[in-house]
Amino acid sequence: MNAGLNLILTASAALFAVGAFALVARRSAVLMLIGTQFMFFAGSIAFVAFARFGLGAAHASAGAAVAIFAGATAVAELAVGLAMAALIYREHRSLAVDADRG
Amino acid sequence: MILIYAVVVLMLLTAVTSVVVRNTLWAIGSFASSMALLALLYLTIAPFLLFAAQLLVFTTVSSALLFGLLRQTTGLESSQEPFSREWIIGSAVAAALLALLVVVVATTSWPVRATENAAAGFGATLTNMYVVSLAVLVVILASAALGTGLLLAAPRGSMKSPAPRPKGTRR
Amino acid sequence: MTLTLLAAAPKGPLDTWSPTLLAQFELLLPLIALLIILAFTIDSRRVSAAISIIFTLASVVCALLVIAIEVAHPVHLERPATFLQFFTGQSGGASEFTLQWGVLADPLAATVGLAVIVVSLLVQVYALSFMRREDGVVRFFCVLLFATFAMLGVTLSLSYFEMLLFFGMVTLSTYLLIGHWWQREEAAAAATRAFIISVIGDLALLAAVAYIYFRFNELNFQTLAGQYTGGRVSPNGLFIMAILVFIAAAAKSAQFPLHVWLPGSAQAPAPAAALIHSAGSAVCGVYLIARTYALFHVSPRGLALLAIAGGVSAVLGVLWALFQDNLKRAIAYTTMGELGLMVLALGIGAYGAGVFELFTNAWPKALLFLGAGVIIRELRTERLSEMGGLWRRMRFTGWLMLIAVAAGAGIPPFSTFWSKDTIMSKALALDSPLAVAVIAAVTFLGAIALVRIFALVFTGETARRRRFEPERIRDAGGRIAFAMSLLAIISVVAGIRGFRGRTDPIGFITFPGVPLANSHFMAAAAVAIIAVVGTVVGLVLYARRLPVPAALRPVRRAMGEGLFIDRAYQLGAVAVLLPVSRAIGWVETRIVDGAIDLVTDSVAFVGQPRGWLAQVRARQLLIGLFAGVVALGAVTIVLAGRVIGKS
Repeated sequence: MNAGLNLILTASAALFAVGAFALVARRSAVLMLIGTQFMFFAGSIAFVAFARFGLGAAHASAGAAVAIFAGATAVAELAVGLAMAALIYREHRSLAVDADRG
Repeated sequence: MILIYAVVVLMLLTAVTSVVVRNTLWAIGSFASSMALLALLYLTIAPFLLFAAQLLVFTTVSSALLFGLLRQTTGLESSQEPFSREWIIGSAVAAALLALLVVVVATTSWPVRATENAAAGFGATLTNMYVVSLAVLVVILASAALGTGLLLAAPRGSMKSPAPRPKGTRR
Repeated sequence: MTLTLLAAAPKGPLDTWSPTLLAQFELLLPLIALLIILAFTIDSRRVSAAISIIFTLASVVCALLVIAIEVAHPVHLERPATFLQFFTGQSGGASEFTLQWGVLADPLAATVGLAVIVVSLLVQVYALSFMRREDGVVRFFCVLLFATFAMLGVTLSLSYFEMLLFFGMVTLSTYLLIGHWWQREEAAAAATRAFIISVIGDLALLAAVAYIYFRFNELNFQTLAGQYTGGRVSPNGLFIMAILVFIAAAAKSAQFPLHVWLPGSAQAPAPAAALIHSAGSAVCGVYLIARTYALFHVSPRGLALLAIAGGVSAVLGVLWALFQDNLKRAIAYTTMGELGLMVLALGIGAYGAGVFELFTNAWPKALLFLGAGVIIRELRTERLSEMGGLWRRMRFTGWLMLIAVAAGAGIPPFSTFWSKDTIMSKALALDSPLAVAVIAAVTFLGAIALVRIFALVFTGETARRRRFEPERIRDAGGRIAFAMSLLAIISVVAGIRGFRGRTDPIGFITFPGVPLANSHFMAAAAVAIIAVVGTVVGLVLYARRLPVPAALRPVRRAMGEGLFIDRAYQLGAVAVLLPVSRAIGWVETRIVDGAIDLVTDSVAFVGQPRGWLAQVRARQLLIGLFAGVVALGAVTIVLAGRVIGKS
């Protein structure tokens, strides 16, 4: 099922690109964090795809395990990032990550 | 097969929507639907547990966190963001990454063999083979939760630390 | 799990229910209660206390069911129930090792578990009323639940490693219980001392776990039981293991020389002290020895060590108990004597009797402490020299304390008589005059010590002090009286041994290979006579309040302070440990921290942008990052293509 694998890998690449776009282009902290979330999950998709299509993992469901770990780590990072965004909001009354000031 | 195509396309569409709309609230909404569609994708190619985890835990938790932050800070009224020059640079970067990855995917012939969906015993595998990673993950999650709480609580100083009561010496 | 039937009786629930499942419930219910209280009801005293008591009651029911099942079918090699199994190494490889976490519910565990949970329940009922006006009531119940959970975990452990984990929890719970009134300096110090000594025990157990794993590659009690005699480990090795396990047990059960935390435990509130001494940390050391008895059984030197240490602790304990002025400390020292007697019993081979002594001694000990709590509260003093004549005012408590003293002393037909009698008959059967003498001395002096407490508190003139009106003393009532009466009833009946084999408690807890010690009539008579004589002597000596002759005062003071062993430990610790700690502290501050500081300073130096680098914006950095990734990827593809093309 080469077509299936290629499809999902392309989807993963596209999702990663979307995430990178959000991270670079948007100014709001919330949207940048959404971008990082997309990037995490894009990686998870790739793992799951490779595990499913039998590229020789130690365990048949190793990819799913990685996906769970990556997802949980993503949520943890989101939590901490959002807390920092809240602090930024308290300081500047706006969620814009002011890239112009470094 | 067509189902997978549809799910993938929808997921990418919603993802693009979420990073392109200017209203932050709608962005979060389409992020949530994108994650839900991702869960559907997992349903077809991954153990059921992963679909369930993705849907029930990751999607809801991250959406709740984002939503909560929005409510706490700018409020739920629509907040617009102007179209800025960085979008062009961003699209260029995204396009470069996409090109790189697509080239890799297209030019490599993966030695695939279709395996059955190894759903059985996934939970057992998770706790037996990956128990160390699970433990590390628990630590990470706990620290994240603690750190988040501390970050948010710090400036207000509303945490009352327990102090010794002067009259606790009854026999 | 089906159990094989021993008699052709119709199948009832006792025959088909699995004791391990019920034991799991028994273990987890206190923990669940604790979590519920911590999560939901921590602000409400009544609801928290109610939850605590209800769940403990449910756990008691499970424990009773477990005992009933075990009595119906005493299967010694129960298959344990496991929660989790961890594999290390590749599956199927030679290095596969299964670490099981679960419960092992055999007669030993069932009996001791029953004692633990029932004492815990009664202590909680008592504490409902006793600690009613205190500040930290909810905290107290939480710690009680935690202590119960830890003790049940120790009782139901199925491997050395699990027992080590629960031992650590018991250490923590002992610290929290003793230090409940942490605002008092003596209580905080006593709690710290108990913690340190318990941790020494935990470290010894850790060393034992490591050594046993290293030699046997296995940590499960049941699998190890058959492997000790295989000759894999030399007798010296077995003796070392036995020593390490014994140190762990000694630290928890206050054997000499690790007994110095026991008098400090009198700083705990009365219900907490009752739990610790009767069915808590003080008992888990003895339980450890009983559980790992297979190890001691194959190492005669280990048994000798047990007997000697137990004997010494027992004698010293009851001796010191005779000279204490503080009521709770006096009871605490008698506990040390009893624990020594238990260890001695295990050492001379009276396995069932030793464990049974643990079971029968729990009840009067708990009752003594609970009664002491009431007495101290009413009299507003802890010192025996200021008490007296309470019989007139607090008759009900007096009767209960009398029962407790009689039960603890070994007067027939109260509980400890039956176990002491079996221990004595084992000593007689062994033909060892030393053992017989020690047991007799301990029983005698123990009876005197306990009766001394009773006499000094209840007989004599009514104590009068400044600003204290004895007319305001009220007797115990309500829940306190209920809990204490229940304990008194159990103290009376707990020892009665049925004469049919199936319900004989001593026959219930047996160890394969250790012959059953049936009680000798002569031993029974000896113990009875000694106990009664001791009681009479004690009454005579102390009811009259004979003043101590001046020449003996320093002896009295020395004995009262436990021969100053505690002070010696403190001085030794200060003299030895402090310079060592300072040296290690210097090493850590200068060398270790210095190295780390060097690394972090250099990283910070590099990370602090200077010059044009400081003007770069975050977005530019991000773009640079991604551009770099793309470039790196492209270069890799091209190079990889070249490499693959060539080969």
